[in-house]
Amino acid sequence: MPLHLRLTGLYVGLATLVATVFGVVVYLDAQAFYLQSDAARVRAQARPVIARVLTPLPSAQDLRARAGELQAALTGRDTTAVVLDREGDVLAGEREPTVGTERRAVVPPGPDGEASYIATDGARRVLVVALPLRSADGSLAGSLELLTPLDLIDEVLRRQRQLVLSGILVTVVAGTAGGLWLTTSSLAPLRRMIARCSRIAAGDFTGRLNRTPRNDEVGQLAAAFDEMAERIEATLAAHRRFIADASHELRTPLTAISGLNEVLLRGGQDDPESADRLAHAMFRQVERLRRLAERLLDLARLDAPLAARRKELDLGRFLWDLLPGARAVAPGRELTLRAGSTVVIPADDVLLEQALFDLVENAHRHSTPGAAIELGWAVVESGVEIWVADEGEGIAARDLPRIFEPLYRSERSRSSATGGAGLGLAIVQAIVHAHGGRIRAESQPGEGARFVITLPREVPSPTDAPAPVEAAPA
Amino acid sequence: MDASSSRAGADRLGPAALRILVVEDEPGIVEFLRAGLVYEGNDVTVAHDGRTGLRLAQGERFDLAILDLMLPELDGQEVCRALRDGGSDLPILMLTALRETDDKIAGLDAGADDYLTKPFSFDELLARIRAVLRRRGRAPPALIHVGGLTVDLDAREARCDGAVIDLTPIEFSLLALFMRHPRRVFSRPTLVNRIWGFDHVGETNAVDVHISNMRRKLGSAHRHWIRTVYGVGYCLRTDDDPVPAAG
Repeated sequence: MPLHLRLTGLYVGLATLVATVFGVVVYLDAQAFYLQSDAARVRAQARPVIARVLTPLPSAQDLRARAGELQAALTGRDTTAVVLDREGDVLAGEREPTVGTERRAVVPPGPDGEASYIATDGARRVLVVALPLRSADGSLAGSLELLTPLDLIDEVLRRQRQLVLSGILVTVVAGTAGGLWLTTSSLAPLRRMIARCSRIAAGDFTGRLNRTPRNDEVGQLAAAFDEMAERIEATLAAHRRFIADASHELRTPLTAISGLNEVLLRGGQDDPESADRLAHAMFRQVERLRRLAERLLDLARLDAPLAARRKELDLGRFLWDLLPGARAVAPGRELTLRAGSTVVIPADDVLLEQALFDLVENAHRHSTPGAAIELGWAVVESGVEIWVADEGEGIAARDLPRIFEPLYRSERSRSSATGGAGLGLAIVQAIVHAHGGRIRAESQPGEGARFVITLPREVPSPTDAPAPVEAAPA
Repeated sequence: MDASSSRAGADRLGPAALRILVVEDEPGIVEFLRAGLVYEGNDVTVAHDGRTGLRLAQGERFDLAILDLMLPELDGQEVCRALRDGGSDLPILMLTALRETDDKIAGLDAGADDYLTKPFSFDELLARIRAVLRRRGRAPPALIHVGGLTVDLDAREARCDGAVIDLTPIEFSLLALFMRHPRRVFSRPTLVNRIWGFDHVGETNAVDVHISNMRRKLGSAHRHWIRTVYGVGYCLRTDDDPVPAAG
């Protein structure tokens, strides 16, 4: 059963129940009030008449003599009086045949024998108010019954019943219509979400749910859903781009290897010199393929959580120790270290060294012999900044946002003659992210590039780590 | 200058000498294209970026250009369009690492004659080159003459002084290979690779049997043209072209 029908049913059921209970209570209360006030009025009107006619009443026998007078004095336009003796026999007035056969108490009989009840006479109801009649010595002489037809009260009550019933009916109809409208419109984003989920499952990410933002739970769900869909889409797009790039990167050396191999087999082997050249060219391509595979593996490993095994690292000492190795990575360049203040950070020395070597190698690749490369660190508010700056060709503005994407190569360094596998910067970024840090590149074309790693000084909690949705492949 | 030329040996007698411009930035691919095309008897000029490639194609006469789609400076499509806009009718074979049909269509729209998706086999490249040239009416001749011997590559028919020789398919393939590259010495493994394919595994002695059968069918006037180069393999040399003294 659809949710909106279930909700509407529940809502209408509850509203009807409340309306019914309320209506019945109000109706019963009104009825009791009318009857009691009527009975009280009748009694109040009768008392002075009784007192006038019967006082003094020396003995019970005297009642018989005055019964007629009393009955006449009390019988009016809508009240009929009946005087009874102690045994209940009629002394004066006419007891209607049905009176007494069906009696329902309106007020329970009082201690002095006063009572009110409803008697039914065919379709009409009659209120009977009974009053005891006492002689001067206090003994019971007889009783008086005052009969008042309830036509007027019954008419009022009938109209009230109708009112209550129509109220319930209106509740059911209006509740159903309103409930359906409300639930349908509130759940519309849910239905759109279902449709969107199906489209996403089929690979279609276009369109958003929350075009008119609502601040209720459904609106928040829609917004959260949109955000999730956007992130999935971005991740998938990054994956697709990565796979396309990886396949391109793999295809190029593969094409070369298979072509070289074919030329060798189809006759290149007959000339020792050309055979040697072809074999060496094949070797270089296989090396390239192997490097590419290794780096892809590095990248995949770094995506695993807790890839960084942090320990307390004296950054200055670490960088000084790193210098000789870094100079070997960048032969022919002036590599200098600009020292900052002493600081200890939690970092994985092996990974951090790899990242810095990659940055130095990158600086080497994009600069000319004799150029300076500066390695340095500084303590900043958000943690520690470590940078590698070169005097190379710099990075074009349109390349800057994408250089950390795996396998992304700027037009200029596309060729493997100048470029590496195209994974170095992606690996550096993955290492920095594994430390809960950030990396940025700053460059003016022609004036060199500067890569700045910002690492936290404390081990960040897992939720603080930035999610590398755009750049990392998994 | 970011370009280099390679010339086939001066002793090349093959009929299909083409001047080919290769515009490609990947050294490994350049290496095998150059080696393979030169081996086939062509003159190969290489440019490593689009701008150089365009300048060379506009400045010199080539029979064919092999153009990579992704190039530094100026990509293959731009080079292609610039050439066509300049009125050049140079046959162009485009190389692309992309499989998307859109890229192929874009390449063809830019004026390329055909495209080839990496990775491709060298034999397929040669077939595409022949097809492109044939469409332009510049196909290498199907008839090859060496002395009194003639092979018709289309009809797969060999004639000796006008008379048809009855060769098996393998014998015909061997003869056609020798005729296409007179004076080139083929080793037995190379012959096996060329005739039976690269994944053929077996004794290279089979070649000797087929060569000896073929020689017999060539008759006494030509049988000695298929010469045994001791310790190496076989080659085709006419009577006017004596084997240098064995060293």
